[in-house]
Amino acid sequence: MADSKQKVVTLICERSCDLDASLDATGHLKEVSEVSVVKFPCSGMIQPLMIEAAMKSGATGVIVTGCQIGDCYFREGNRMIRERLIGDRPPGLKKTVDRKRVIALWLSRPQTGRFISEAKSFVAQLAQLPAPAPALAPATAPAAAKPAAASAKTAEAKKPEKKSESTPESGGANGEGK
Amino acid sequence: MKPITIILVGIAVLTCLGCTFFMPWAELGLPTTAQDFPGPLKGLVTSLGLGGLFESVRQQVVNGILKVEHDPNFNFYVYSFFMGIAMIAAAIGICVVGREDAEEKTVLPSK
Amino acid sequence: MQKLYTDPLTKGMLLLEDWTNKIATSKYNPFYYHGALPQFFLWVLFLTGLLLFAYYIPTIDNAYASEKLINAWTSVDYITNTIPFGAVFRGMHRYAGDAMVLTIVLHVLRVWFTDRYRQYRIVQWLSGVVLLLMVLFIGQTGYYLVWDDRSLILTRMTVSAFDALPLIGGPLKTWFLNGEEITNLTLSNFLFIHIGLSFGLLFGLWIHYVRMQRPVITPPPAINYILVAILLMVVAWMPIASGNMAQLTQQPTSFEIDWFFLWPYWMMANMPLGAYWLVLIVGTVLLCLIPYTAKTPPVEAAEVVLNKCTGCSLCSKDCPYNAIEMVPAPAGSRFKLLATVKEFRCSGCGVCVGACAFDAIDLPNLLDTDVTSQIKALVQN
Repeated sequence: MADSKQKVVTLICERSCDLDASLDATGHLKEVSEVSVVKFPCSGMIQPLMIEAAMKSGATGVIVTGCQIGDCYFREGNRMIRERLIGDRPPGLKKTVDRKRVIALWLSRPQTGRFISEAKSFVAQLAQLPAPAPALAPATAPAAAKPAAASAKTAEAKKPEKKSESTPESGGANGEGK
Repeated sequence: MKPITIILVGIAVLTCLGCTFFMPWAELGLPTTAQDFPGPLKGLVTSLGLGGLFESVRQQVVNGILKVEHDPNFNFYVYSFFMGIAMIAAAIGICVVGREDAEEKTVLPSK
Repeated sequence: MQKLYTDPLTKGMLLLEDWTNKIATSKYNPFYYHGALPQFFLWVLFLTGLLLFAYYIPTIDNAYASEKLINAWTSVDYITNTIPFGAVFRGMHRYAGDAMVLTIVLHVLRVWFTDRYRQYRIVQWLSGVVLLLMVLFIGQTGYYLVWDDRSLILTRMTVSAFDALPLIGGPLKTWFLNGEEITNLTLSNFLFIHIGLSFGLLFGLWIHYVRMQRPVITPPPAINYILVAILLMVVAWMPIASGNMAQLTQQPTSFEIDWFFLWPYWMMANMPLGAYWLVLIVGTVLLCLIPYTAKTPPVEAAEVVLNKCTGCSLCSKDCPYNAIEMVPAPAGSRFKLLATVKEFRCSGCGVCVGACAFDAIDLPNLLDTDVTSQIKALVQN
């Protein structure tokens, strides 16, 4: 944690990829110490409100993780949270939540390695983003976008980052996103 | 689309079309010589020299793969065999395109 | 929280699905449509069966107009050898039945191995056992209808099996033969059982699905094409043929066994009839008891926070198990409706918690306030 300012919260279904062996005593990933993990019985239980709460209390990013689409133990939970995140199903995320700082992964039980690599690249991607605007400071211009001097690790993260330059969207506290 | 996708879809489409070409032929009773074909097709088979192709396909499918040469319904079985291959090819083509919708990672659309 | 997925069978199943995902992706992974596969084959059976039904004549002889023998066997022969593609449709009907049994077994194994058959799913499991027995019996009656040597020996074996049952044996035999011996009426009864029970399957399936919101009963089209294509190719590769026409005066002694449907007859031939019934009945009871053997804590059903619920019915729509009902709100409430949880249906999954924008529904063992404070604690230290 000390080496990075990023604080990423993972909201994960306990039946999705197996992280039991990858967590330290405080609930952080051993290999990516910026990432902490909160387990749910099903990803469908994750409320958009919880993502907002995580952001408000200082998280710089949120990873939502459920089982492979089609394989929810409780039939539909992962489809539900996926549609809520995209905005196709109420309740959705508030507009104030920076969409660049939330990703969702749909991984089966054995895909722990995939989760860790995605978490690493997400943390690297967050480092490229302009500093988060904590509720106030709506006028903060997007910090000088770092040019393509990214390391190989962040190459994957570049595409979404490019978009962020054109659409600054911090602040503007209005109601539900749909 | 990735080049491998396009190649696979191309193979699937060609296989599917090729098999649908053999389906009506099977329904005709798998003729191999021009005079066994109905009217307008006779000339076509002769001028394109397709007799040999039909002969070898008939040999391979009827006697080789299916071994239905003694069954009175062998032409219908050959028809359904080709229809099966055509449908599998079509399904593979659809899957190759459709599998790009499957997502393991969702990036949220920006509002 | 309890340790999940520790069973080696479960782990193996998940690994197999993971490999399938690598090839087919989750969108086309047949394991994610395991319940829809037999349902699809049921539609194939209905359609091909309709075609066979149009030409099938359920008699053993035409004693009233006997210019030329017309009976079940000759009508099947007509379907197979005279009607264009009749042989293909007949083959598809036969192999779709086999495929249905095969996919049902796959379905059972998957729900068993991935632990999706207990507690709030008990109705699905029990109705599934009944459906499986019905499918097996319907398939067997299909073998009687062809009316060749095998049909005759199967009919006689079934009669002797019924005869071995005390009390109900006699009436069952009379019902089965539609009289005391094999006559024309017997075959019309077989046809009625075969088709009538098939429609009975639809009722059973309604019970099988009724506790699920939006059941997955149709595989994606591409998978359907592959399923039909496999049927077509198997039909071409292993054509169906009838045996000789059944003669009531003869006693055929051996027959080819279709291992998907006719294994009970193998048991009948190899053990005393009393033991046969015992094995069947005890086997069925054991199948029904499987869900009660595993020891896990009972589900803690979700609870509605009465003074917060606005009656928006989002949770009721999203509940995967139809466990939340909207009832009229009590007098004096500001809202029209109130969510109520049917505890016996609730799986405790928390999808309703995710659906609620007012924190008005909670899992008693994991309050959303606790989750939020856990998130805060993790972020802030």
